[in-house]
Amino acid sequence: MNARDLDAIVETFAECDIAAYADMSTAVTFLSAGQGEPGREVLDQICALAASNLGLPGKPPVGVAPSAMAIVSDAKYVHVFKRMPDEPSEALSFRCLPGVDLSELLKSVDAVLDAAS
Amino acid sequence: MSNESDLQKRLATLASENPTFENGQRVLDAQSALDVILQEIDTALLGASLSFVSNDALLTLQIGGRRLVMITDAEPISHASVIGKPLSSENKSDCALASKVIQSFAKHAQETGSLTVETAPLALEAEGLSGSIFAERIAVELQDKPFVAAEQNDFETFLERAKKRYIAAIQVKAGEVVSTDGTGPDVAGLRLILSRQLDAYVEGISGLRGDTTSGGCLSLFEDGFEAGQSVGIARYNADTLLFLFKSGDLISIYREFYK
Repeated sequence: MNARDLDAIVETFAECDIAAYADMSTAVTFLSAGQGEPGREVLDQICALAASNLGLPGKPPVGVAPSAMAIVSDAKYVHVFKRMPDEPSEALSFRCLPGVDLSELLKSVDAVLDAAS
Repeated sequence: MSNESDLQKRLATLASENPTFENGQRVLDAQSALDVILQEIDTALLGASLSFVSNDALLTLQIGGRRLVMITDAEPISHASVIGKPLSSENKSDCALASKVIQSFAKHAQETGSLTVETAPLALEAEGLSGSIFAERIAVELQDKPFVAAEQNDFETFLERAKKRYIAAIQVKAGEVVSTDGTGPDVAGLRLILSRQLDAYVEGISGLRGDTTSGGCLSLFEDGFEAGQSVGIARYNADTLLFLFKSGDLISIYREFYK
């Protein structure tokens, strides 16, 4: 996976304003894409949200099984967090506007993950 | 577009003199890629397969009778569900996806400044979309209808809709359990989440989200209960619904949260 994969998703989905790839255990964002370059503060916040929702390996925040994906929707944003299949402490995060076509977005995200694995 | 100007445009395209060829492919004006592609659809009376190429990007359309019948190929692939699917003006979501595929290719052509087309004759069966209808749809999408963020349903509406899909649920109001629904083991599992994890989770994300007070918040954890069963938490001020649902229903539940 590279920055172009994230660029492509943000370009295809106008309602997705930030895409980021981060290590949740060290809170380091490796790659990001967005409408305008997303600031460090926002990326750190998204990474922390990913960790709060997916949890670090072996520590699911809700439930007993570690989720491969978590979605948090509110009046302002829909956050999609997707754990990397081979690196459970790493995640892809997408910040979108409410009402984003989740089905289409996830198809594109899965295509990126399939290509990466 | 009036009939007269429509006709003039078609005649002008048909009569355009001395097209340039490059390796057997007709060279088109990449700067107006979207217009050019729509014009090609609009002037194609006979069935044909048009392969537009712009550097490493490709867009193959099946057209005829001045209609776009379907997108047969696109590289890089986006919106794969619409590729190879015959279009009809009745299926608006397919039309919207097809618009996006064509727009994204046209944008690429514009950026790279390269666009050629190769035409191959083809026998046609399907109905398809006319170039002008398609142009109108694209224009509407681009200018008149930008993506509008969806509004949330209120708690009662969400609860009513979620009931049709969840397997088990616990409803909490101001910290007190007001109702439970589902079999004993499922409800017991949800009670454990309620007593051991919910408060810490809510506290953890509250500091990170911008607007914790306005409207509701829905969190969905895929396969969080066990393989194939997911956990959902809907919080609206004093009301909380903790529920269990089939992982295959995740997108449907997300949709029920918005109007």
